[in-house]
Amino acid sequence: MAADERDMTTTAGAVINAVVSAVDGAVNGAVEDAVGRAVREAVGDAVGRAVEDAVNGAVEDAVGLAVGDAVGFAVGRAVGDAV
Amino acid sequence: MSILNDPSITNPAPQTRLDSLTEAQKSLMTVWRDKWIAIGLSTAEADHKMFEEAAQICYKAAKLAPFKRVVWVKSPAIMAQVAPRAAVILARGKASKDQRRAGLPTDEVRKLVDEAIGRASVDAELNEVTMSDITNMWGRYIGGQFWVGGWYLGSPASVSYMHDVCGLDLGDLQERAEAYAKTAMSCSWWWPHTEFIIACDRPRVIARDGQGRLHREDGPAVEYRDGWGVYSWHGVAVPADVILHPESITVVDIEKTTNVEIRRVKTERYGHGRYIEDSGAKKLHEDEFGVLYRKDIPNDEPLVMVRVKNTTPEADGTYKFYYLTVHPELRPLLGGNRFGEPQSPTARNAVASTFGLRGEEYAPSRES
Repeated sequence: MAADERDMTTTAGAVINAVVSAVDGAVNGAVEDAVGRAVREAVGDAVGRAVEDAVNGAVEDAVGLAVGDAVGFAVGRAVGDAV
Repeated sequence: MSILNDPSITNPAPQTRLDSLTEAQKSLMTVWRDKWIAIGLSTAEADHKMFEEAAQICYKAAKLAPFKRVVWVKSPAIMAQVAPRAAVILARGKASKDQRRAGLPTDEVRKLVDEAIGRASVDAELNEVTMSDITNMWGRYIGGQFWVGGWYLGSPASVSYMHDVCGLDLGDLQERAEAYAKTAMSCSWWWPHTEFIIACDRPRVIARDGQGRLHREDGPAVEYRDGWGVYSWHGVAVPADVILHPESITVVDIEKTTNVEIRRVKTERYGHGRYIEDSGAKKLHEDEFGVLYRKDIPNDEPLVMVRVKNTTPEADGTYKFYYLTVHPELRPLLGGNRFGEPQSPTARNAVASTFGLRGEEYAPSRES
């Protein structure tokens, strides 16, 4: 990449950052945070609490370790965290 | 028939309370684990129809009005840039003058952003910015295929095991649990907005090493369908050039790299022996077994290597030399990540340590 192209790209990157920051602060922060949180709460947290209420603690631990955590380690931590 | 499709196993009698697991249920844990790891690491095309139907159920569960459409993008790089812009465009019509004054992009700025977004998927220079944005805003995303597991009991892997294998009936919550699982089964990241969803297709490549760490020697270890991706060497995220153009790595570049893990990868890609030769490593000792070198590295343990000669000549009568990496204190390598006691810095001790021996124990038969 030529030096002038690099400069332009860096400038564009800075503009993106500035715009995203402005968007975050000025418009969609509260609104869009609430949407993501509402969906996660309704479909993940609520179900998780229901499972916790209905399942014996030892079973929870066994499934949490052998299924949930094993999958989380192989997928979430090994791959998802990097993307 | 796959065990997963066996109705006698995956249609157990409904239970409202689960106090113990049968041996058959326990034996299915590894099967279930592997099933969901495969879903999490899937590189198949996204299932748009399955996602969109399931996501509407998730919105309903969250007491949100139905979204109007799903905008599919090919990578999280594009999602990170497009999602806030799309939100702004919608919000502009609703925003007050004060909000617009507070920092909404001008047409000129938006034009620049358009240009930048058009290049985001292919321009490595923008990756750092993109990754920064993704990190800053991850809390608004939902992980799709990458959030299938975790200790958390709401994870699709755990919930589906409780339901499909053990028969746990979650009553009114069952529909949303299944819908959430289907979103994870059908796409990668997604970002819910009030009126629309930006959803990301799955990667076309997820490459890992034998230990399950992201690793690819000739491209992004996670590569999305527009070419954007994450470069990784045995689980260490590195700049693209380290993977694509290792010939561009220099000693100066290595020594200016402050991140210890990335510096180690760069050194490995450059070649440990070559680095010892080119970086002004200190010669510690020389004897008939070889030459011992040490290179001190800021904020990391020193690189200590012994240069040895292959005693069998090449066809042209010349001899090849090799560098062996040894423990900085020449502790013998005992296997299983165990080491012996430190030794004085001699080439003989260094060579012996690679065989799990101390120098005084090492007496190789001379090759003729």
